[in-house]
Amino acid sequence: MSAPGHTRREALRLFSAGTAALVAGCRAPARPIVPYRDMPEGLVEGKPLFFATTLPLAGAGRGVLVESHEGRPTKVHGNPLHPASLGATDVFAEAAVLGLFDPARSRAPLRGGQPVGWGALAQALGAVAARDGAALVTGPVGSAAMAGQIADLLARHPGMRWFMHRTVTPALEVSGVQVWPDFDSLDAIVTIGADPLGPGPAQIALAKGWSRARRERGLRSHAFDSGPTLTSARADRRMSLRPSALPGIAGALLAMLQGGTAASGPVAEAAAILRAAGPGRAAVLGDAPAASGTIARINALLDAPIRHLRPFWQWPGLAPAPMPELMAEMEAGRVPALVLLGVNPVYDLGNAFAAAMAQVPERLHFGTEADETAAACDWHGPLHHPLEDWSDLRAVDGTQALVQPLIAPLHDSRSGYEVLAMMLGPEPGSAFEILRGTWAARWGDAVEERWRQSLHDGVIEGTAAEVLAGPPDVADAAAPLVEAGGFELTQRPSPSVLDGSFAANAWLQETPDPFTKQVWGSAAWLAPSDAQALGIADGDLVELHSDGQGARLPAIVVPGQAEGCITVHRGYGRVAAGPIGSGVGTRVAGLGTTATLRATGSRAEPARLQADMNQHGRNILPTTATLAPTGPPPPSFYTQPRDGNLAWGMVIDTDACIGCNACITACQSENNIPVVGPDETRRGRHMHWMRVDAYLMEDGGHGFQPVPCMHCEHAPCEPVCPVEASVHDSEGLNVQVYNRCIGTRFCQANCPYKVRRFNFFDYADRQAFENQGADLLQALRNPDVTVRARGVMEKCTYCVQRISAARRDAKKENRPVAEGEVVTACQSACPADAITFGNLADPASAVNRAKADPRHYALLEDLGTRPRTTYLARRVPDGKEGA
Amino acid sequence: MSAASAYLPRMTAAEITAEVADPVLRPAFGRRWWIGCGIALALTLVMVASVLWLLWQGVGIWGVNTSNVWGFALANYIWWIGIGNAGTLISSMLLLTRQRWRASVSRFAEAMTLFAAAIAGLFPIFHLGRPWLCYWLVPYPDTMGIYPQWRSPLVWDFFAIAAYLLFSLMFWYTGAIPDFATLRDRARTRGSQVFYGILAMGWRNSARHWQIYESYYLAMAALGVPMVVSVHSVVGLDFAAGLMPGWQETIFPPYFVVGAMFSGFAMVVVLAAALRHALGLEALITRAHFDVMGKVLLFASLVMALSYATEWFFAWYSHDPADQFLLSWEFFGAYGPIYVFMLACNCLVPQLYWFRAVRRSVAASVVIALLINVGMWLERILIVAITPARGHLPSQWSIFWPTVWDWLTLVGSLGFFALMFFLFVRLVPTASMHEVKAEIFRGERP
Repeated sequence: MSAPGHTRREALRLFSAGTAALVAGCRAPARPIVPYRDMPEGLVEGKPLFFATTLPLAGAGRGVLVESHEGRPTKVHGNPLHPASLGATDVFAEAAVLGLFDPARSRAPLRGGQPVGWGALAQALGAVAARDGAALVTGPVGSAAMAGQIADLLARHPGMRWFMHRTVTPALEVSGVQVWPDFDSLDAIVTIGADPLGPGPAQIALAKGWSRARRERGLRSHAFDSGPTLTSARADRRMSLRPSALPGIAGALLAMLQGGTAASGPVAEAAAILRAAGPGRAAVLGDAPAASGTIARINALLDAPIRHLRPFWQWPGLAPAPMPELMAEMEAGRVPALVLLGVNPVYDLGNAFAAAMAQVPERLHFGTEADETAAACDWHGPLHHPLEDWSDLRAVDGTQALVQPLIAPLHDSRSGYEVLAMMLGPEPGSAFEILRGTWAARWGDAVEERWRQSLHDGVIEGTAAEVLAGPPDVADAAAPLVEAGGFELTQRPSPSVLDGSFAANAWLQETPDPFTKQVWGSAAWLAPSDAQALGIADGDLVELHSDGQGARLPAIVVPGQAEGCITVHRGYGRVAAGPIGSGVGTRVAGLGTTATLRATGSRAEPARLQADMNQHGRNILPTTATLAPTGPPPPSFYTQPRDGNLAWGMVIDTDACIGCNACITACQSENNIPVVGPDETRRGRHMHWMRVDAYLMEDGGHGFQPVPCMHCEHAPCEPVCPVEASVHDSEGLNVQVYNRCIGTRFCQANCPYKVRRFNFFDYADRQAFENQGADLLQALRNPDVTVRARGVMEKCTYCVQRISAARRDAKKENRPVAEGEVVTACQSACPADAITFGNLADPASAVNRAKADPRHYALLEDLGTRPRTTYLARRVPDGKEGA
Repeated sequence: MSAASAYLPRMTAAEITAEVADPVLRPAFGRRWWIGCGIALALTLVMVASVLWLLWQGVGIWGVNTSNVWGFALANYIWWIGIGNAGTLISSMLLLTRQRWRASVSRFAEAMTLFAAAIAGLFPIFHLGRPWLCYWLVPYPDTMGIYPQWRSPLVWDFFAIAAYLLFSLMFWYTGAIPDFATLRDRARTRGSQVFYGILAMGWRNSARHWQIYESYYLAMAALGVPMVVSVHSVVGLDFAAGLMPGWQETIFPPYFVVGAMFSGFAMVVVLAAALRHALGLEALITRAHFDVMGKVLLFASLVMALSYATEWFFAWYSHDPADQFLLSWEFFGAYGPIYVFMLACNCLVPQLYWFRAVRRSVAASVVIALLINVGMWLERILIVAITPARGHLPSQWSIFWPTVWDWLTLVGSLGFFALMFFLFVRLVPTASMHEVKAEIFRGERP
């Protein structure tokens, strides 16, 4: 007999189930949840938005697309529409997001080191601007709006003088002319001292052009340089010689081309490749003013496809005075007030400038960090980071583009425009109004439409540099005199921190030098013969003396360095660059062009990611001349894992790779890779998932081999993991399950490529280097990638988060993942298009085409790991054109 | 008198019992014991502190790096498990081959095995990035259906060590039951009567007990021999199953077993000399014991030399540049002097055992045995560190140098071992009384 309804048991069961559901399902939020009052347009939570903007480097712009997650900029991508990016980036662009969230950025105006308000600073600035003889110092101005402001300012205050302080010139800007080669018409180039592929604002554009010419037409190149540069490393033939001998090479080359003697040697070989290319297909690129006249004549002779552009910083009617003039004025006591906007001359120019500056009664500094110059000034005002600012910037090739803020200013900072507006008068101006006003004046009625279009595209249509009528007819400048017995000194901007303005950026400090793989510091590069003669080995502390200045820094012996010449890098030895950049390396800016060298007898071990560049006869980095023919894959007991319709693979073209490290920093940014700092690096610990191995080639030059995870089909890491944290997925990825990993490190012990990285400490958070575990930096993380904890192994995932996103999108639209839909971070950053990634199961995919190339090889192929990441060998000339 | 009697005391059964059992039951421990135990305790605290610091900070406190991921932890593990090899070998193999000299050394050798294996078992746990998850190697019924990965030598290792530890404990304990009964019967205080009474598990010396005991013990010994070979073979497979030059060698399992026996016997020599001196066991542990152990060490040293030579030969024979480079680097690289010193300790110095006078000299034997132990430890660390230091890709070559924490953990583990041994000599008869008596009885029979 049962009553209607529920029994006692059933009622109890339902009751407890309900209670359990209530407890499990409803949790009081930790704090009130505030939804968007106005939902940002186009925002889908969890999906990033991309905004086009422009990032400055040495004053010139490179167009980028910035990925923004719920209002936080987390990743910089190249802007395919922008000619100075063409979709690629460089290390400095990739690291810009870390610069934005840098916890050591200047946060509030200071007077004498004490925080003050902007009101007081604006008042002081207004008063100063009116002083007769006041000096304004800026970097090279690439902004049309700012150039306009400066013109207004100089008109308003006729007593004011404007000086330009620059530390880095773009490649191929010589004597106020920007040489711009047209790589699409070039079959051969000879560089004399110039480094078009080297770090700087022109790097991406020139590397894109260079690699396209190399890939499509086998561009031949020949480099004369004082030491290895990214350009000379990629040249077919190179010759290193003292800088003072470089201008002579131009003369010899000209003589040779004018029907000179049939001598043999590097110059004759260079002349041969130029002749072989034919008229209009070859060019000579140089950077020494001492040879610019000769080089111009050679190029005229060759009918070289190069344009001569007005440099990005030259504006009609505006002529900045040079810094030596300012020094003289200050020393003479004729400068009553000094306003320094976004420059750090106290570091760049040294004590002499600081001493001269001390003569100036009123000193005001504005910059993103409270640097050495800020410390020498009475007032300091923090400037916006470019990702917080409105602006416009001209690229090296003349293209102009807008800069738009990705985030509201994090600190109490102001735009450079606002600072200039404070000097202009009492009426405050916002950066947006000033910028928009400038362009509205130019565009007239079409302003709304063009403004929107420019912001969307990241390029202002119809802007280009003015082409100068022809090469300036300049005579060669006199070559610098060299004392006998000493060393000649070449100073280059650091490939990692440039002129020191990126010293506070930990990603960049941990980006290795392409040739020495040194991080967190600088060294004196010595030729092997010089080192042997002096008895100096890697890591010996040496003292350079030059022009009454001295510098102590470790020596590194660099094959390819010219005998009698030492190369040093600027940008190190900062003293006021926050906890990251202060005291890293040695300042060399004060040294002249010649130096004497003395071994101190003590040692200072540089932190390096790779110390042995020798291949030890293993043919690790083969060329087309040494590539062993590969047969069919060896038989194996393992099954073929390619059964699905997706099988990811990567091919890296070592013939295209220029060794610029953009892939390393891109990977670091995309995959939340922490820095470890110099001490951990010296211990042999580093976290980069992508590394670029450098090896000496048979011809004595350097070759580069980027090494991400090989994603072996027969991965040696997988069978040795006791807990199955290292496993294969259905698409052929070798994946690491972080939360299953217990950290036996057997996988890394057994990985022949050593691509796995272990969290010996909690590098990402609690035991982070210096301030890199700061709360502010949490905003920088890519929310699609797990931040790894202490004690777990990690490694390259082929950007599995991007693969997942593409797979989800394809699934929603009920279609297969399309070719080119997944682009890895390293691939998208690469300015040389060296990395191809895609689906091996699609016979038509680009990656399959690359694998069919006769230059194709796998690293350590004989081990039978069947890597999914494979390589294309470097092309070497067959030697027919020589002598 | 047969030659075997040189290993046995000329004592009556009662004298043997008094000689072995009385020191254990004596109430005063003696000043030397307290000093030694105090030092061992202090070193044990060093180990505890370094392990706590390790758990707090992470394995980054050690000298390990991205290429050289294992360092001291694995070297110590292999060395300790090697030490832990000899006791069982002495007990099982010598029992099965009816070597009479084993009777007086087997007990402490087994204790050594047990302690060393226990310490060895700690290192693989502490070397983990996340040691608190070490139980994931156990195939327990997990709610997510995840099992250990059976292809991994580390899983084999886990089972090998666990089985070996359990075996050693049982073998050692059951072998001591008749002696615990002797102590129970001789104990004068209530406390020790109860203590040894529990340990003796009701042993009444009946013929039936002895009959069961003998057959059980022999069966265990027969189990022990393959066990002891397997445990070190698996350790060898940790390396041999890999893909790295210098590790991927088929000789590794037997080479590791012999190496383990070598270092274990050397440790037995050291401990035998120490016990003999400290407890006045000259009658039980005779010069003849040192003589025969010297011969074993000499033989093992020759096998080791042969193993090294085989390694070198195959490196040359393989025509693999990575292997050949590694070989030359062993001699001439950063670790070259250590490698040569290791060869001297393991291959050259033991050749002194060819001389009877050296074998019968306790002092000389101890010095050689200590050098062998040092040499074997160096061999372990070199195996662990050389291969990753000079792997397939020169770009990733990096040298392992230990930090202070590496050293403190090693020294602390030695202290912990000593501490357990100090406690052992106070609680357990150091020699197997019943076996010595049985051997004497057998020897007296016509």
